[in-house]
Amino acid sequence: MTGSDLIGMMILAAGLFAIGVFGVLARRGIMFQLIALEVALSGPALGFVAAGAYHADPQGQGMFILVLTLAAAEVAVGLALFLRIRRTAGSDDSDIISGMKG
Amino acid sequence: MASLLPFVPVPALIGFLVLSLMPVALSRTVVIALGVGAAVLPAILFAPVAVSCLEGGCVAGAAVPILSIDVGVFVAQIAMSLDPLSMVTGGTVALVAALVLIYSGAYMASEPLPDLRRYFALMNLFLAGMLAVVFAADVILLFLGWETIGLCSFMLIAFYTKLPKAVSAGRKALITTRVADAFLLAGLMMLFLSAGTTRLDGMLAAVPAMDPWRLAPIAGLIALGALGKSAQFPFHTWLPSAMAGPTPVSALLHSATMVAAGVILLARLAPLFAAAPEISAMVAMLGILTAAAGALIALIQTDVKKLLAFSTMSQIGFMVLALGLGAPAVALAHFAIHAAFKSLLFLSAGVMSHASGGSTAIEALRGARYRQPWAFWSFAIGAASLAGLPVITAGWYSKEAVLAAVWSSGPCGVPLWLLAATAAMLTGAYAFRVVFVAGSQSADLAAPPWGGAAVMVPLGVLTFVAVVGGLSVGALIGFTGGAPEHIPLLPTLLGAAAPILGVVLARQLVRHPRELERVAHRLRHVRAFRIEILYYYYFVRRFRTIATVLGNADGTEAAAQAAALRRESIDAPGLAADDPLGRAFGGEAAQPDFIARATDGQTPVVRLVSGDPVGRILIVVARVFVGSFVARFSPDQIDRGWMGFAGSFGHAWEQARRLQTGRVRDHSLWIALGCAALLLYAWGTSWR
Repeated sequence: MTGSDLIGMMILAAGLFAIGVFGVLARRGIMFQLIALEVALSGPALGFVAAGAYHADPQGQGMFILVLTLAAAEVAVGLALFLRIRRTAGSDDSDIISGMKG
Repeated sequence: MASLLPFVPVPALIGFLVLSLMPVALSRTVVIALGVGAAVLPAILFAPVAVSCLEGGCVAGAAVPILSIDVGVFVAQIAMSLDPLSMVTGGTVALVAALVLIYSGAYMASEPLPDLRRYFALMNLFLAGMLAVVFAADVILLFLGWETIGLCSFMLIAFYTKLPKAVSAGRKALITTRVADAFLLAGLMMLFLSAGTTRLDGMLAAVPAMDPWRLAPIAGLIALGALGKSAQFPFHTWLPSAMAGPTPVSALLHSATMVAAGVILLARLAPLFAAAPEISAMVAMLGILTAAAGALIALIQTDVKKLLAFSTMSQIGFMVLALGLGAPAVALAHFAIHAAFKSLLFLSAGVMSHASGGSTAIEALRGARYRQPWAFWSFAIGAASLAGLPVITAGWYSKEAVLAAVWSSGPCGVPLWLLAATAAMLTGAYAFRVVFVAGSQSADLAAPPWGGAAVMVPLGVLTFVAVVGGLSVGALIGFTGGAPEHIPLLPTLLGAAAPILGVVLARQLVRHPRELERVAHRLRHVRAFRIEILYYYYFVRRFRTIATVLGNADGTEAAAQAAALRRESIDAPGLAADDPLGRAFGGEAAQPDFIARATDGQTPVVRLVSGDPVGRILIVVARVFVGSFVARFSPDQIDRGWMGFAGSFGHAWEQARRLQTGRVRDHSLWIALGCAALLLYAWGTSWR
């Protein structure tokens, strides 16, 4: 892997992360926000793998496994919250839970 | 046997996990047995460690490594220290916690089963966290334990979730200590960046080579964090309201162990503070301030738990004072003795208030001596130890050591000693006020039956320690690396007389309750911290009076308006009659002499000096000054400016609350922006 490949991969990773963050900020459905979070997490994961490949260091792949674990845990908590909100608020609109409004 | 040390907190942690997470219904007996057993086991496990330590196994700096995490740049080591400091504090915590949990097995037995299970689970988690704090030899374990005990404190203060008062008290404690914890975290991180290791001994070894400009903020931040946990002066407000929790919680967390965590941290980092003398001086000042103010406030309390809360504040103030003056061994000795007699006081007060129908008001305890003599007498012995009655109580030896350290602390020693001795006298007064009230006769002497071994054993052991523990004070100080101070006979005698004077004062106060009420009333109306009131009374009103007296001659429009307002009994300043000179001259207005005729319609000051040419010049100058300068600051302008300033906060709030929409995506936006700003900052500062 050459340096220009790495830069391309990093741009792709940053793009994935930006798409994910935009999705979380723009969407209102909780399900779609969770999917967008997954997309956002895949950005740094790609970055880790690419940097690991460039430096020929297995730690990059190790970090990817860590990101996967993190994503799994996050989805588990997120889905539990989603079910709970569906049951109490009767809707999957995330704007409905605004009890912290000032 | 030193390798047993890391397993000391384990039973408490297992107790928490079983009680909170195991999805099996447990009966009441099993819950109590599990909860109490998990808290007693650490004390039993600790015994062989302590024995091996006494046989010479522990020296300063010895540690038992648990695991190390290699992250490439540095190695994060997690270890428990095996030095005299952790032995003294750990032994105190384990013993007091075991006794309090035995007691609470009887005290909380009538709670509903889910609440009982929650109570024991949280107490066990707290014990595990507290043992982690006292044994920690690295900042990671220390901070984990520190946060655990803060969280447990919140959940135990808000234990009665049906009471809004308890929930808001818990929230207050959590927020106050969180703010302080943020300071602590910042300080520990900066210390880590400077030292490059997470081990406390490594950090302390790096202190002498550190730049003083880096050292002072680190020490200051850590001191603020520790003072917040210990409820010292700027952060003291959460402790009295924390008494909304159950009594055993107050006895364990909010008197003996958790609030003393700050003292333990300061003692452990003593070399760091010795290298930052200005921070040590600040710590000592805050300590003596809290010790004196806490004692004064405790004197006028009407609720026994509140009184004990303020007394805890005050006693920890003594420890912090000793730490600030560079005598950590003395502070630790006072910590150990204080933990024993303060938990004894709380536990026996719990028994007495149980007999008086659950009320914790001091008046409700009247007659406790006849209803429950053994609880009363153990309370009295605890109070004697708190007051520090000479020779016979443990409290005297440890407090005398603190006073001696204060006396021989350099040029400021004597005035500080006077303040501390006054606080010690007030300690005697407030401690014995409760004893005298509880010891007096009462009509209602029927006591509900309550007692048994679960209550008697803890009270008995703690009473024993509160009396005999004094013999160990010298040994404790020597063990933790301090040397007892030898001071002249006179301050020793005066220090011994202070608590006795306090007891006499308490006798007088109980005989004449109206005096105390008057003092209390006065103290409640001191609003020293209301800046705008001070500003108004000392600045605006005086300025108004002077400006209007100078500016408003009798007969001018403003004076006429003021007079009209006065007639409608509205207070308007600036009449000539407000001028003390004017009042003096008011009587003479009936017989006008030539000066009065010449200056008719002028203010009395003008009349006084207008007789001669120099006086006339003065008056002209004054008039020009008033007209050009003072009039610009006319009272209404000042008031309007001030009110506008105050009102602008309301408008600012109106604007600011719009930012908080409560929507998830807006929160995410703010988090994303904050992260981006941090990244930019990091990039900007590390760019070369």
